[in-house]
Formats: sequence, C-alpha cells, structure tokens
Amino acid sequence: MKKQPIFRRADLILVVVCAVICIFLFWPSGGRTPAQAVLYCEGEEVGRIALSEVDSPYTMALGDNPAAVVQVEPGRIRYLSASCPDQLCVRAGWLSKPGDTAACLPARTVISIEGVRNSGVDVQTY
Amino acid sequence: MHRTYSKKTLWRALLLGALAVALLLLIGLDFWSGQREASFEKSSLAMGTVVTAQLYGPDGEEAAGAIFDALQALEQERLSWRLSSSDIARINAAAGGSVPVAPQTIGYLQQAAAVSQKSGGAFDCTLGALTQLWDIGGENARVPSQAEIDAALQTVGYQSVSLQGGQAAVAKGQALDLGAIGKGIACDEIAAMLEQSRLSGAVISVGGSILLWGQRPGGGDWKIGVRDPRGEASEQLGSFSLPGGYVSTSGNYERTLTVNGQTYHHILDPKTGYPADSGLISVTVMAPTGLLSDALSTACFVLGYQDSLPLLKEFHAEAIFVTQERAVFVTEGLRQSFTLTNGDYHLASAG
Amino acid sequence: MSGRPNLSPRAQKTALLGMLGGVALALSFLESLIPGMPGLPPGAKPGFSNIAVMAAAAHLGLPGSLCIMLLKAGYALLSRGASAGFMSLSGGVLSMAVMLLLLRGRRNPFGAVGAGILCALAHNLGQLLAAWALTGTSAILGYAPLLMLFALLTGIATGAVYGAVSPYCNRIFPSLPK
Repeated sequence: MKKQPIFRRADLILVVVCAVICIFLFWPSGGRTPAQAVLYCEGEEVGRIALSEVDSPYTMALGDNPAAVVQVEPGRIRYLSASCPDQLCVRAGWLSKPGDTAACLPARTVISIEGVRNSGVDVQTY
Repeated sequence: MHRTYSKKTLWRALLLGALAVALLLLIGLDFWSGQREASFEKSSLAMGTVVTAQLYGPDGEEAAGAIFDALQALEQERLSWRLSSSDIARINAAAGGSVPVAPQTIGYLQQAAAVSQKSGGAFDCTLGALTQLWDIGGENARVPSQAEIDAALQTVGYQSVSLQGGQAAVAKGQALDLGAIGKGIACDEIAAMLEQSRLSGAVISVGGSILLWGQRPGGGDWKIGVRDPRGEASEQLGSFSLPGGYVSTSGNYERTLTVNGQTYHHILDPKTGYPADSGLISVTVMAPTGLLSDALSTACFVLGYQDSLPLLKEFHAEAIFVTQERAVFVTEGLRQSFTLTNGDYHLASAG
Repeated sequence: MSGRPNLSPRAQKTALLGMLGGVALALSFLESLIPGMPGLPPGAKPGFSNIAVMAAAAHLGLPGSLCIMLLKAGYALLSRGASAGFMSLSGGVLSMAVMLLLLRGRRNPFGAVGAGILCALAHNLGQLLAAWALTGTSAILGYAPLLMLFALLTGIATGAVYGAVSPYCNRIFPSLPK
C-alpha cells in the first residue's frame, strides 16, 4: 500500500459494527460503574453488589449472630435493622459513595463501597 | 537557505535526543508513577472498630497483614478489658494490688496520666467503673441512678494509678478504661511498624482516629475530611491538610443511648458522672502522637472551647471545635488549611 | 526534498526507531497518569502508546516494532511491576501482530482509523487475557464489553494520529518502507 488514507469506507463499517456490538452488550446490564457494595462477614468477603445494576429495591440478611437486615436500592445500600444493642450500623445510614463503610461489630459484618474515591480528601475523621 | 548537517551528526543527535528522553522518563518518572500506582488498601474489623489501611509503596499486602496481626495482639495482650489475658484486664482484676505488665503498657499509662493531670481530670483513664455503669453502646446500656453514679465517681481518680518497677496498680474498686485512647495507641503502634517497612506513605484510620505517615503519593499534604457531626458518617463538615501526623475526633454522635426522648452520648464527664455538656458537638484534634490526639479530643470535648486552649498549647496540638450553635472554631495552626465546606455551619473567630 | 540531509537507510531506520521509542515511553508515562480507570481490570491501560507500535510496524517492520513493544513492556515492568509488564506485553504482542498482518495483506480495505481500532481491540483483548491468566478468575471476562467500547474510542484516536503522522515519517525518512 503506497498511501494509507486516514479514513476509508471499511473503517466506517468497522466503527458501526463495533458500536452496535457495544450497544448490544451494554443494553441488558445498563453498563458497569465502579460503585460496588462489598459485604464482609467475619473478615471474609461474602458478597458483592453492583449498586448501579440494582433495579428494584430488596432486602437481605447479613450475618446471623446477631442477624442484620440489609436494604438494597438502586445506587445505595444500608443496614435496615439489626438485633445488636448499639445500632451503629443502622445509624450509619445509606452508603452510596466509594469509601462509605458501615459495620455491625457484634455480628462482625461490614458493608463497604468500593470504587474510585472522588470526595477530594484522603481520609475522613469521625 | 537551509543549513546542512553531516548525516552522522544528525542521526547521532536524533538518537541521543530520543535516548535522553527515554532515560529521563525511565528514571525520574518511573519512580514517581511507581509510587503512585503501587497502593494497597484493606478494611477490616480490629479492636472493635473498622480499621482501614491505605498503603503506598512496595510490599503493601504484607505490611497490611502485619498491621492487622499487630492490632489483634495489641487488643489481646494489652488493651482489652474483656479478655482477661490483657494487661489492662489484669490490672483491673488485681485492683488494690500491683501486677507486672509490659513496658509498652506502662508507657501508655504514663502518657495517659500526663493528659489526665494537665487537663485537670477532664480526661481520666480510671473512669472504668462509671463507663461500665452506663455501658453506652453496650448490651446493658441504661441511665443509672444518682446514687450509683456517686458511688462510681468515688473510684475515679488518675492520681491513684501507680507505675513502678514494671508493675502497675490501681486503687481498690478502681478500673482502668483506655477505651478513649485505644484507637490512638493503635495508630502509634502502626506508625512504629511503618518505620520498619519499605512503604513510602500510608493513611490509617482506626475507627476514625487517623495516622498520616510518609509521603502522599502525587505529592503535597494529606487532605483530611472532618465529619459533619449532625450528618451521616460520610458527610463532611470541612477539610484541612497536614504533611503528616495524628488526627482524632470526639463527637456526641458516636455512641448514644436514648431514654424517654433524652439522648445520652458516650463521653462522660469525670466531674459530674454524666455525659459531658460543654456546648460542643465535636472536637477534632491534631497532635504529635495518636494517644495524645485521642486523649486530647476527649479532654477538649469535656472542657469546652475556651478551657481547652491552654491544654492544646501544652501538648503542641491543634483543634477544630464545633459547637451546638453550629459555630466552628479553629486554632491558629490549622486556620490556614481548614476549609469549611458545609453551609449549615459558620466559622467563628476566637473571642 | 531539498535541504534535507541524505541519510543512509540504516541511519534512517535507527533514527526513527529512537524517535518512536521516545514517543512510546512518553505516551506510556502519560497513560500512567490516568489513575485506575473506573470499571477496567486493574492494570489495564487505554494503549495510546500503540501509536508508536503501529508506526514502527509500518515503517520498520517486525524487528523495529518488536523493539518498541518490548521497550513499552519493559517500562511497564519497571514502573508498575511484573503483572503490569506482563499485561503490556500481552496487549503489545497481539496489537503488533494485527498491525503486521494488516500491512502484509494484499488488499487491506482499512484506513488508518480502522487499523487503529483493530489494533486497540487486539491490545485490549491481550490485556484481558493476561488479567484472566493472572487472576485465574473468569469473572474478569465480564470487563470485555467495556474494554471493547474503550478500544473503539482509543482506536479511533490512535488510528487518526497514526494516519496523520505516518506521511511525515515517509517525508523525513524517504528510504524506509511506506
């Protein structure tokens, strides 16, 4: 090939084909975003929820001694109720941003949002 | 007119230029981006709270493992008052007599006693009987009767802690409670471990007590967010920056007990036996050690804004006070870098 | 071209190799400034430095592009560790192979942009396979759709830049293969 043009008809076809495949691949899941809720029990990861892919709210149990109920909604997650005395986990409220963490210490469960930090600070004191 | 170079000169120049660029990039920037990329983060439960370690530099994973092991050991061997094996539990069990304890434990108690003394007892490490009585955040939380509180207060007094010849003792009936400074002690212990590591920088949060160590990847000072005391844990009041050090916050939102519409928080005033009521809702302290930042944030919360200032000066510490009226007071050393980001609060000048 | 020095083909080759090496490293470095790209497997990079590999494949053939590719992988190895080096190598080998095949093809229907997209697809596929091999978890293949989208975008960009720059390589170094 003496001279390679920058854009030819085959390129257009390639772009369109790729774009169509991408749209097709993304259509059902609605795309992937970084915000994932990671559930830990006794220090072990027991579950991972891509919050952006949740389309209808639901609740689930986490841990068993004492048990806690976790509520999941599109884009956010929280401890709905827990049978522990301090209720710290419930009072942590909704978790949605990377770095947000709530823990139920008696049951040794943790919910933590992982992803790219963009709150502008390195760490938060509380 | 064009200048012509000999072929040799030109291709040598080109090659040298490219080589120089490549070398510069490799040496200078590999170092820089290497530091930035190599990071390891781990969150787990330790010492009864959520501990998060962000580690920068080589061997982050091993360092994180060592840190969490060390915290477990610190809890089991030194600080816990549930596990009978710990130094603190053994001192309490032997109240009235002395027991041999680790030199580190003696060190913590000496530092705690210094803050107790300088704060006029606003922070007191012998509050154990009173905290157990209220048990705020625990299973048996309740509002005790005045008689019970008076009885518990009788046992409180840092002056009767004796530390001699590797032995520690408290008076009969007295109980040590290092709960207010345990997280800070953990930060101090981790800092000592980091010095032995190959890491370049680290941010450790032990339940909100923070250690900022080494170089921040990407340069500049570490940026610390201060929690909005009236909001949820992730919400922010403002932020400030530090080249390194220890930061701790005491607030009335941390652990509470609500009875008949009245809310009691967990920071007890050793003078009254009731939750401290100094007009503050949170104090954030930056201090030279973790133990100090924890102890001082508790002492300042009990003392209130005005009375805290001499104490902070004494220990070369700086603080951010938030009052019930949503006024924010910042001491001189932090005033430059503190930014209030929450519109519900206003900055107040020291008056 | 009047006024241009008349370099031997060998010298032209060497000079272009040096320049492209510099470009590859500079672009690799710029990529490393992009902090962990959201949603991508850890260590995956957009592959802007593919521009250098593509140009090397076009004007220097297999030996030259191999040099550039290894240089890139070496840089990733030194600056971001062994796994990054492996991922860069894996992506580099595939995209280089695609470019060389495209150039050898008798009737290559694609322009520079098409070549860029195909190279980027190969590059990201290589990275994905490397990440799969490194982590041993097939869950990582779930990144494929996003990587494909990224390949489309970066491929258009790298292809266009390559297409725009390539003629100048020919002008400066006239005796190299076109």
